[in-house]
Amino acid sequence: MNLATLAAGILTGGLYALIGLGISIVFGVLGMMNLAHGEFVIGGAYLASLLVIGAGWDPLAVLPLAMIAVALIAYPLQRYLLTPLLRASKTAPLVATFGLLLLAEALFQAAFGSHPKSLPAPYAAAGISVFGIRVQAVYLIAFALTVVLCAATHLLLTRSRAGTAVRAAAADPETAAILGINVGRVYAMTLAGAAALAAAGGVMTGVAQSFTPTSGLPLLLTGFAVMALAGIGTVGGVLLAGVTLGVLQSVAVALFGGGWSDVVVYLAFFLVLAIRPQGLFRRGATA
Amino acid sequence: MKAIPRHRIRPRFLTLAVAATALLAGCASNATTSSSGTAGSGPILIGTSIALSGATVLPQIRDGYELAIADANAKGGVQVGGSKRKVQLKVLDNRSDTSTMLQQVRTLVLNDHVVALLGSCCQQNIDMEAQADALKVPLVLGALPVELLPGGNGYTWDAFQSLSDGANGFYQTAGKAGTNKKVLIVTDNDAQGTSTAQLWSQLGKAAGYDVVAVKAVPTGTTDFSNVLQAGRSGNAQVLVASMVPTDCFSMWKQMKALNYQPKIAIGLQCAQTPGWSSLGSLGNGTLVQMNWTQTAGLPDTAEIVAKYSGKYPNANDLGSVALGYAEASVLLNAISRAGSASPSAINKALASTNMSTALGSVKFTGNKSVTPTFLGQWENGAVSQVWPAKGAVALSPLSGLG
Repeated sequence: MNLATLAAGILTGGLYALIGLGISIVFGVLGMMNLAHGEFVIGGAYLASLLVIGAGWDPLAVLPLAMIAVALIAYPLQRYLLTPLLRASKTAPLVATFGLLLLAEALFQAAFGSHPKSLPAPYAAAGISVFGIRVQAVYLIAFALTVVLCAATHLLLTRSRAGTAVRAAAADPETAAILGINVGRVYAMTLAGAAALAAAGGVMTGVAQSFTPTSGLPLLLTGFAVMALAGIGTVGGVLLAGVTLGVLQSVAVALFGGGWSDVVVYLAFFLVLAIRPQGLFRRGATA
Repeated sequence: MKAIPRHRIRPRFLTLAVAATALLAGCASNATTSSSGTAGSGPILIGTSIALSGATVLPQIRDGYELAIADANAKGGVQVGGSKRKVQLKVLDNRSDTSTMLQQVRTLVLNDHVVALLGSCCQQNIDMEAQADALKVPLVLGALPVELLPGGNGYTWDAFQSLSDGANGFYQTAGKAGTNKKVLIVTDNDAQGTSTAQLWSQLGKAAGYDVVAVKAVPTGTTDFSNVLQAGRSGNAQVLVASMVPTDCFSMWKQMKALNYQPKIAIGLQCAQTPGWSSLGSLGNGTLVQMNWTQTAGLPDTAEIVAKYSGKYPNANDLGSVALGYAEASVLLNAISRAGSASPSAINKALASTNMSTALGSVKFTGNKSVTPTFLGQWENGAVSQVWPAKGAVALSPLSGLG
């Protein structure tokens, strides 16, 4: 094991954190496990591919557009489908999001075919030396993007009126509604924001790796592992958890071979749930 | 006794009537299905459980099956005994899931009473063989190199290329690339991957190559650092990768970024996908093993190209159509020679198959028939044959990773 292994793990963990952040926010605010989150990730990649592969745009230029587009799809889904279900039953949204997962896979396959796609970019296969360690440039960019988005999310949640409304709705939706907060709209904005973050993760995944209509589910599982490690309601914790997971994976692969990368993810997930269910990095109930 | 009110009698009566009608319809349907499978003058029913969605998607093979059956039906059907009978194909999508496939195969045989089965791909074909043996129904498949077909009870018939031919062709081709003859082999860690690694290692050594490392990775791997480390430390200039396409995409990008530059590379399974072109110039120079090319002069090429080149511009996809066409042709030929639509008679007839198909000559020895192998090379989004010499273009350097 060497510094390159650690560096690769840290940078890959950034991408994991970006994928896990949305799941964590939705669960923390809405109390809802969104099984379709992986499809938001892949949806972002597919929407980006329309301009990247179709028109030759750079993926980073398309990224904000993909985020907005996926957010616009997620908002009405939450507002008119999932929120009413959430009010009726705790389990109905889980089933509904699973249905959305299957529907999304079928739509992706029908619209884009089943062959794997990759988003081409000059930095997709470029390497760069950082302090003498050779790393993949795309993961460095993804890590920087994750830090920026985590910081923006944290500031939004803690320093803005919208963030105050979100935290109020998360803490006590009934009282928040009495105080004049439109909880339905807050929920929809939360899912839209989480979906936008997922889409960003999808674009970077498409550049660094590739994607198919069924790529969402493994990414969802990785996101759950990050959320479990981080604990609910801590943006900084999600970043640390993602990095921790990335490093654990890299070290396991370096020491024991590629067959252990998934084992590490699921083992970490279950161990944390069993030993410290509130997460490794959760201090309190604030973002 | 309390009388039942009239307004309650009618719904109950209707419910019973509907249930009885459904029961009778179901019995009639089963009777129709069971009779059309084997006896009488109705269509002969054959079935396939194939991956049309999920991780591995094979509509091309399905299209090949349907084309062969449509061609046979256009001539009035298959000659069985003294009469011609049309053939009907029941296609079930197993979503690339093996347990679904196993269940569907049983449904096709036990409920639908198909007289024979056509295969899916790869590992699914290996798993399907046991079902064919247990259900005593003939199964004709391709998309599984003949060395990988496990020994069974004689109900599975594999007409496809040989891994050995592909490996020998690759090592011959690699000889022209001026390498140091050191090989890195990386495969999926399933049964097919393990067998592929063993075979390519053996044949590489026999061809005078030094296999410096053999690595197995699970599907979904994105970090190949330990694999690349093995390649670098062994100074391997020849790369053999047999993984699902998404894993190869990640590996190729990581190789380029971390400066691991083999001089020649083949992407078994992974470089066969048309999606390889989305790698752009990174994919240039990668070799791919093919079971068919337009330039090889094989039968039925003109029809397959005319009908499917618009839908499938990629040569490997057209090759899969040819594969499906060949498999179905073998089965239809056996049904005709059997003179009967009984599974056992068809199975017996398959043993004496000797015909020319879209993939080349098929004559089974021990349930296997080796069809020709070709090597293609990716350049700017298209694949051209580079081996064997007939129909080939010159080998290009592996510029994508350079």
